[in-house]
Amino acid sequence: MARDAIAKGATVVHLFPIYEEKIKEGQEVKQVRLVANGRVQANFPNIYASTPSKEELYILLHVAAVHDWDIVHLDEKRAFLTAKYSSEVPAFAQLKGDPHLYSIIGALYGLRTSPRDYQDKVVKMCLDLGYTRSQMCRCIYFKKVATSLVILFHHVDDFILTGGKGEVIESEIASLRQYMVTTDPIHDPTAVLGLSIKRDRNRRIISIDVADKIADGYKRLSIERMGRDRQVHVPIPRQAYLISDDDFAKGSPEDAVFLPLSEIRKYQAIVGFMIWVVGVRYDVSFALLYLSWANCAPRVHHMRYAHYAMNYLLQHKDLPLVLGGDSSIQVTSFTDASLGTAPKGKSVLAGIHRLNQTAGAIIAKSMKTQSVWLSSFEAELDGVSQAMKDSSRITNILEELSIELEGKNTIFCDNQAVIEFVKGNNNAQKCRHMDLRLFYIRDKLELDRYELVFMPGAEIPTDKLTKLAVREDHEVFTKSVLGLGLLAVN
Amino acid sequence: MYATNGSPIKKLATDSGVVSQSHFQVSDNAVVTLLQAQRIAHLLAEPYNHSRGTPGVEGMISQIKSLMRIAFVVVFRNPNFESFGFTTPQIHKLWGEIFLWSISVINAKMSSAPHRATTRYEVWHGVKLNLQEVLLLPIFCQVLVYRRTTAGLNAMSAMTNQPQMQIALYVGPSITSPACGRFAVVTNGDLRVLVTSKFTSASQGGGLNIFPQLERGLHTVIMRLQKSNSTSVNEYISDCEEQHSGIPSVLPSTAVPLLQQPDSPLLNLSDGNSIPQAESGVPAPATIEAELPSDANPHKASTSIAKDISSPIISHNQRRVAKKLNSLRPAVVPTVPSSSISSPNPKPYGLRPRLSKKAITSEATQVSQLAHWTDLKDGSESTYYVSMHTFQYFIVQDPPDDVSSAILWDGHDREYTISSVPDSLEVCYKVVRDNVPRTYPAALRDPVWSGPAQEEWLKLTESRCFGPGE
Repeated sequence: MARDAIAKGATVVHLFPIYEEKIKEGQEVKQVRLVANGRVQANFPNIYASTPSKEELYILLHVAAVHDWDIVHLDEKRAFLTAKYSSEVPAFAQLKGDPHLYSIIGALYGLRTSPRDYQDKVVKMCLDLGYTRSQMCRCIYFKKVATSLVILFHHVDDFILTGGKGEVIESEIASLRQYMVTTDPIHDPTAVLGLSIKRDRNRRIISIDVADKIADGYKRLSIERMGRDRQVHVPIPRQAYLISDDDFAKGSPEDAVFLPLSEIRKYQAIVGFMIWVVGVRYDVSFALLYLSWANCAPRVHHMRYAHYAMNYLLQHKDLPLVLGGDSSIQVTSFTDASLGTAPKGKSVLAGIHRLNQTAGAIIAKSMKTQSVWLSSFEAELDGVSQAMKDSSRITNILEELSIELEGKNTIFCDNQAVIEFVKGNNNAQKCRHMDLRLFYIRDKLELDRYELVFMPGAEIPTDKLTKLAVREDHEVFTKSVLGLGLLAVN
Repeated sequence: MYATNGSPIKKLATDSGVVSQSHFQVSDNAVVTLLQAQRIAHLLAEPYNHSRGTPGVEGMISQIKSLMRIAFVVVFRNPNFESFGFTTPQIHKLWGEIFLWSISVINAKMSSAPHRATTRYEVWHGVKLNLQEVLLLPIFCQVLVYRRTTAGLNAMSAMTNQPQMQIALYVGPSITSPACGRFAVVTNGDLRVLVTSKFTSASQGGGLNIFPQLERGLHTVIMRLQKSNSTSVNEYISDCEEQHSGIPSVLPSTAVPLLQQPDSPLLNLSDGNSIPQAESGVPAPATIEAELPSDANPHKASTSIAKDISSPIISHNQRRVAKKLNSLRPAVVPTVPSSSISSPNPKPYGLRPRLSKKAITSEATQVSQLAHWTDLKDGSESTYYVSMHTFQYFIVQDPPDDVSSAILWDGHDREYTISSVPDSLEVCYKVVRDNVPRTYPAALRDPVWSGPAQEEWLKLTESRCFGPGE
């Protein structure tokens, strides 16, 4: 039967065992997982499964903090195995060392179709339970029970439930557990999706940190420890910002040497680790951007400052991202651009978005432009349009969840000419190619939902996402972007 | 190139470059003179125009430049470059050849558009590209070319009338002569380019001059002999003989039951989803132990295999390394049972049971890896080990049991401190790669992993992930 099906186009998937162990309560626990080899599988159609973004989680945590909502974490056991294999391509499994074929009827781990199959199962379950799937965030489900809002956040096999009233949440948990086998619900969890969470319900703040992960990564990546008495105050010192070959020619010849292949792998591992960490630690965003530019061909210089940045992270590993605080929610954004400071004459754009003036950022990003901008005006206009898009997305998410917003969305920019140009108060020549961005921003401003405001370059926090800073400036920036002011005791 | 294909150029259209900067000006005096001599009209266009195909031309130029860059990177980064006999300026002089080569490569490249799956060569010539006529070898690969005349090649060749082969570098296909390549040679210090199809021994970067490799090999042998004080030269030679004798292929009697293939499927679907049992062809762990000799379990059997293989090449110092590394238990070096290291009885090679490659367990692999660690210093406060295999230094300071005092150095004098991972971090599962069965049926029979493996199978069958197949 199997041979006939294979002859007609069925696929054969090879399974292999994965051996795992951990220390639990002082004892070694072993487990074997039988997973499908993902490298040789058929080109299944329809395998897309949506993944939530970090910003969506932060928005939920911020809203839960300011409204003092309960947060409950559930983890479905052997989640994928509860879903059925639904692809139209018949599949058979084969074990090495066993000549027999088994037809696959469940969503095995390692199958390319399994995430999609499991997502379909979750969607069906949520719709059966009366939830609405968010159009903006496809992994967020919400519903209103009486006057209380319940929001369900789904990430692979983790579920985070939050909402207005405690008894409603408990009732929803009981409903969910009728559909799936989960771990015991954890109220106000201290660890979610690899993040450590501390909550202060009196002050309505949630602190997120990755201290354990940083310590673990420091050991795992064999980071060179700097002197015990040496304090590292910035991720990368300003004088280490070398871009072109000429910059390296002026410096030490040893620093300009390219790393051998084995060292390049280590360098890329460090950069990869920092990419994960920067999801919480926005204060190393620009340092990471600088290091990532040399990801393909790093020099000794880059490796040295990758170790330097890791030492900074280790010494300041406890710095959290603080969300919540003020009960009013107003989307506040900052944007900046630095012309021609990236490799090959490209510019750096930065944006910070927060849900009130004092909280930590929901989004803080620093990126290189795709094109070479010929004027700072052009780069700043690009930055404003990017910030407008992000601000618009956050607003749409909040509005879809029926979260009340106060005031207009404010976007701070440090270029007066751009503001006047966008508002039509200034004539600009030779800028026809910028029209698309211009009209987009004008359209948004005319909705009377957004406000473009000038802020001097020395005060705007995004300035430190476009360049390296000295210690004093970096500390002010870190406090601002991570919302550390909320932790201050009055 | 066009002229060779019967289409002489009558007009050349170029942009005028930046007129004020002669460096970028296309039509300088040399170009004008050449065009006049060839009777080619020169048409100048505006510097850049989005709508008149200039981007296409510039894109093609960038492709050519990219290919040329790759070719020069290939030759200059070749570790055997010094043995080629070419100097750097001589290679640079070949830029024109590489220019032609890159055009030939682009012309032979299939179009990326699926509905126009053809080459530029085919579009121009009207016939499909025959790779037997266009000789495409790896660029700058080293070959031996036939020289019909031996006079002047070198002093040796002047004394004989035998055909001579000369080392050359491939620099592209010949456009005019089918099946011929263009090869760069250095004769009496002069760079020349030959067009020939008579060549042999193409080597992509490996180098045909064996003397540098021989020199390096001899140096390694001498260094190894000097270092292995505890091993006599005869033992060393016998070790070499053992390594070159190949891995035997007959299983020992104790290992045979472990490697039997199951006769029936692991999942017996005829009577419902049941976990594998001894009667279904896969013996349960208890059954396996009953089948083995009284002092044997799979691990012991594999350990004895490891002893047989590893004993002759493990010195006393290397056993000490293994013991110390075991005591440290960092993630850097796998754990090895000390019993497998301190095996006393090396058997004569002829009497050793012959093993298949699969029968070599990961333990044996680990022991052989440890054999790369060499004690550099002993009897002092610190003990140094060096691995020529991974080019790392390992220093164990007193007291050796103190985990935090273990320091690892790499070949670039960078210090790494190894310390044990605190238990508090061990909160999630970590993958184990060492000392694990290679297949799932083997895991079901393994005394360590059989329990978790059966538990996994039970979960899969309870979840009804599998249906009847064959």
